[in-house]
Amino acid sequence: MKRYLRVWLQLAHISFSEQIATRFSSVLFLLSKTLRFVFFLLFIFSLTDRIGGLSGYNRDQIIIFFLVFNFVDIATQLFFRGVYFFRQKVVNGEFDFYLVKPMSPLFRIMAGYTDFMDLITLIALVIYGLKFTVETVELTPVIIFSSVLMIVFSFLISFSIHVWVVAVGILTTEVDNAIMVYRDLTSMARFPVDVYSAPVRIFLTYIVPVAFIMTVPAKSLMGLASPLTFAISAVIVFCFLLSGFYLWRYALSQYSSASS
Amino acid sequence: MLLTSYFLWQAVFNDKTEIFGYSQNQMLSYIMLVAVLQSAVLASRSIDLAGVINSGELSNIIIRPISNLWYWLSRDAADKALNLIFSAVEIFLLVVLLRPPLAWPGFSHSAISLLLILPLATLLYYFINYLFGLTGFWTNEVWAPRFLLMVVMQFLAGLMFPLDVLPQNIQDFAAWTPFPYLVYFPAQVILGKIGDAGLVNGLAATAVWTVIFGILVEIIWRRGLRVYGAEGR
Repeated sequence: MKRYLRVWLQLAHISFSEQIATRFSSVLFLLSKTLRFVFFLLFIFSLTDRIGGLSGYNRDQIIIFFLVFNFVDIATQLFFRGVYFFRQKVVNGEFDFYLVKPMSPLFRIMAGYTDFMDLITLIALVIYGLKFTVETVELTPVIIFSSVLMIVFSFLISFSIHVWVVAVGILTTEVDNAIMVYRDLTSMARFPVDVYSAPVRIFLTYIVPVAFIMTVPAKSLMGLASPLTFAISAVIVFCFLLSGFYLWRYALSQYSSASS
Repeated sequence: MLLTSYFLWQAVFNDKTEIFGYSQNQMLSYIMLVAVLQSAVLASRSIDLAGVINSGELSNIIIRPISNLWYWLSRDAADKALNLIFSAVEIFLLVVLLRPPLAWPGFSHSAISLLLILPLATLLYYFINYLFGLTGFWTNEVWAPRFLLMVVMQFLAGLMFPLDVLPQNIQDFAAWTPFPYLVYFPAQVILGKIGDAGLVNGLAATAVWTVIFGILVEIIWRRGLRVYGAEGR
């Protein structure tokens, strides 16, 4: 564990050095992401002011859903950003070097790039999110514990999906499209999945469990998640982790190292 | 993004007949229209221009007896044709599968004005895009400004939702930028939500912005060529 932390810190240091070398770009990326966040927040304010609420949720609740969406989205990108660069590693054979190292290649792929600009937006988001949540929701120890647990589950499901994408990348050398489909689907969770029609909701809950990645942690934070939801979350985490690791092992067994 | 918007607005209109001056039919039509207009106006290969300058490959183009401006415009046109085909298939499938209630206004002089509006909007975006590509003459950090452009366009061009959903002061601000005239304005014209005066104003604004960016492109291109070192060649 300590060794992995050391490697992650080293990789993060390299990423940070790269970003410092391109300060102009880093600042613009930060500005763009902040603008996107503000514009969307404005849209939510405008929409909920006009219609009062959405599918039984009031404005504050919709904003909490949006904040949790952003938190999970930014945090997963912060830690799993390496997946976005994985295709090239397979195509040019660099992945071979990951395999011969005495550590999990999966860790090396996932943590290969850490975007520190995301860390800045994440810290700002957490400060604003906590302030907003404390003002609008009564936080009890049970709610705090269940929310943290749901966030951990959310990361585990998201991690499993990233493992799927990596495995598909090894099998087909296609990563970008798969990860973009995942990003597009998760973007639907800017709003609670309850707002969508039944077929879409079922798809986003059980097929690609965006609901458990984004919506359930927010519901948990507002004390709206039932014990059954927690139980289903645990089962989904188990299924996704298991299938992710099986697919990963299968993909590795099929890897021919053809590029090197 | 198309599906996200579609299902969201469907949910919003669940128990409402009109929001922000749009009926459900109009809003869903707007979303479909934006998808098509994006393919026609915003699809582009000229996003590669900065990379071509950075790598020195530009030399291969400028030694030929062709204009760089027209070269990339022709590549854009090819890309738009391809994207329009995909977009048409996508919209066709969505209409068949989801059977959304759509609003199609009858044929009017507004429809004829599209013959002018769409080429102008396409040219305007091409010049904006080209201008961002020309930054490659001075820096290789070209992706970040483009990302900023994409984010701004998502909102101010009405790609995520119609601009008139946002507060009035933001709409007023947006009207002074070129972005609404790329997609939002043409979509409003097609939906018949723009009166005669608005049509003339919008058309004039699109034309003025196109000329401004056209001139800027010419100036920046000339200055860029002066500092071009063909690095990498």
